[in-house]
Amino acid sequence: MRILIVEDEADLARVLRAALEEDGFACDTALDGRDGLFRMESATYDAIVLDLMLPGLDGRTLLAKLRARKSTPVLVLTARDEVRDKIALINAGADDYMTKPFDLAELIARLRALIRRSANVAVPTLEIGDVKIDTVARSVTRAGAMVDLSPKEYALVEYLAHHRGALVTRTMIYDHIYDDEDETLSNVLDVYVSRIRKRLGAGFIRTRRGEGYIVDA
Amino acid sequence: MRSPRFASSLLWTALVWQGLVLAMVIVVFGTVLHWRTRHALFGRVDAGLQDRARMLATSMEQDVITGWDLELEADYLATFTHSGWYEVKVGEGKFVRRGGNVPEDRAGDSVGFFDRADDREFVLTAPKRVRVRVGQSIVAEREELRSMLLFTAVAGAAVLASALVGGWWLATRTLRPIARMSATAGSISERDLTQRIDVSALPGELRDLGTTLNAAFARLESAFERQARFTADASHEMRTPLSVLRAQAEHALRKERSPSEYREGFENCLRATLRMTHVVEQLLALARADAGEVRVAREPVDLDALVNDAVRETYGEAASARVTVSYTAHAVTVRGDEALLHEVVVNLLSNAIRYNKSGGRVHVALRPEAEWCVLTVEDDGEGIPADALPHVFERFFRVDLARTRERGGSGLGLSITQRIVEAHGGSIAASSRLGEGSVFTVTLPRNPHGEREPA
Repeated sequence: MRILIVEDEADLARVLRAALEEDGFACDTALDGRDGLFRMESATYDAIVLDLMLPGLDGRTLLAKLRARKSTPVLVLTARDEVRDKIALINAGADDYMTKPFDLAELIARLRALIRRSANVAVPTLEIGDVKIDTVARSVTRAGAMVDLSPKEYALVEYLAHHRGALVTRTMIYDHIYDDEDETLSNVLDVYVSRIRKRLGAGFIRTRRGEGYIVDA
Repeated sequence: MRSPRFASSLLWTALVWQGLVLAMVIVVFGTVLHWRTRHALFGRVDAGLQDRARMLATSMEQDVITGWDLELEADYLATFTHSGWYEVKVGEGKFVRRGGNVPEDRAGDSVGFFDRADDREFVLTAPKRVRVRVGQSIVAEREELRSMLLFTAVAGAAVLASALVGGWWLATRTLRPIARMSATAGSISERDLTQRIDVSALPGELRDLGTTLNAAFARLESAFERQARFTADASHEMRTPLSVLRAQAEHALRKERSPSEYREGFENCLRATLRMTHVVEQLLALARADAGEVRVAREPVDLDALVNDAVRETYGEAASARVTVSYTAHAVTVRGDEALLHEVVVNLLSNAIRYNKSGGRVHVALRPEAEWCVLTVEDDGEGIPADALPHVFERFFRVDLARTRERGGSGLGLSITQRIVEAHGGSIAASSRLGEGSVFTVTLPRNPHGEREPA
């Protein structure tokens, strides 16, 4: 899952990114509004963490511009905790907000919930055949037995599971499980897919030649 | 006007006074009218009595043979007894002629007018001991006077009552705009300061009051807004470093980390703490200034030495920003607080350095004038946009948020500088051209508040 953090306080952006990456998210950061807008428009994110008081282009304007084009879930970080401000935020298109200073674990849980919702999944556990994916513990079991996956492999499984029944192109996968700084090789995806098939069964991921992959069609 | 206390109500005061004055006018008018009418009525009666008495006196004739006789027609005499009476006497009853219901003569020898129960009497004496008495009933006149008095009283009461009712109506109408104004003023509270009195609906006399009140409300509203914005800004200023602290600590505690990761985390926390400390100190300084707690010492301060110190102090900052600082010195002494004035110069200098470009120049000049001392800090940096210039001394105002934060500004420095200068009885102004640089001019009185140099 790929997250964009738009936060002008560099120290906060750095900690947020480190924490989110540790939890398996791919993260990009933007330190001002203009860069944030550019990134939002040029890449596909699964969720956006947006600080309201931003230099260059303030968070509210940014939100309005984003909402004119995309429905990416947005969690707003605000330093104000007036009810009026919160209502205005949600009405402006924010999906959730947190008041600074916030709890890191809560922020991550809320982000996961937002991503689940936008993929039309209500529960944190996904079941496909005898494969169970726990998105909170980020673990996968097959017929009750724990399956050992690398973080990127897990991210790929989770992403495909969130889009079960739909065609997922290679570009979508690259866009959502890597951030701007990851160095990717074009054939690394084939390596991941074959390793996942080895562990979760050959039929878990089906290939549509030249188009992409489908889980549980 | 909703609950007027009787004694303090404008309406009742006006009504009571109006009633009192009007009642007095009616009583005086009634008295004069009564007196005049009475005078006219009795004057007529008296004139008639006098005429009759003279007629009787001149009609008395004395004949040597027959003695005294009254030479008057009986018909004519009959008119005398119509509503009165007469009596003519000569000596001690030598000749008496009377007509009508003559009362007993109680006047003795006296002459003139007398009042009896229902009559008015006139007595006159003529030569040869002729004594004439005439009288007339004044019952009708008294009745007329009484009915007139009654009429006056009823009319007066009616006039008074209608005047009071009219006055009450007029007064409530006049007071209604005041009531509306007070209702508007009453509905203006801390939560909703946006309401205003509709001045155009007010009568001319109250318009000034309405405008004055509206101006006061506007000042109140903007003061509250400033306060609210300041509180929100201050809270934002604290919440951001707090969230860095919290997120950093939570992240570090999630699992065992390498010493270098811990080190980086602690450095991050320290930066956030320093920033918070800086903001708290500045907020405290401003709060003290707002509460009027800043005591400004009035000691002679050598401004020249002070500027030299400040330039030396900011040398490191200037060198790392590749900015050259020059100073046109002039020996000037002002009276004030050395530490506070030092803060002013350092604040202005480090702003000029911080918002300059690499290779830029900062020029400080000190210029004494007759009663003032002018300090200018000039830079050739990016300058301040014209629309931002009037706000640079406002709390938490930043020309460019990102630029300020990345260069470590809190947005409070110029506010504090301004407070210090004003506490010294001076003023500070900023002028700027975008892309060419800015000039901050501090004007300090050389002898503030007209204090004398100690001898």
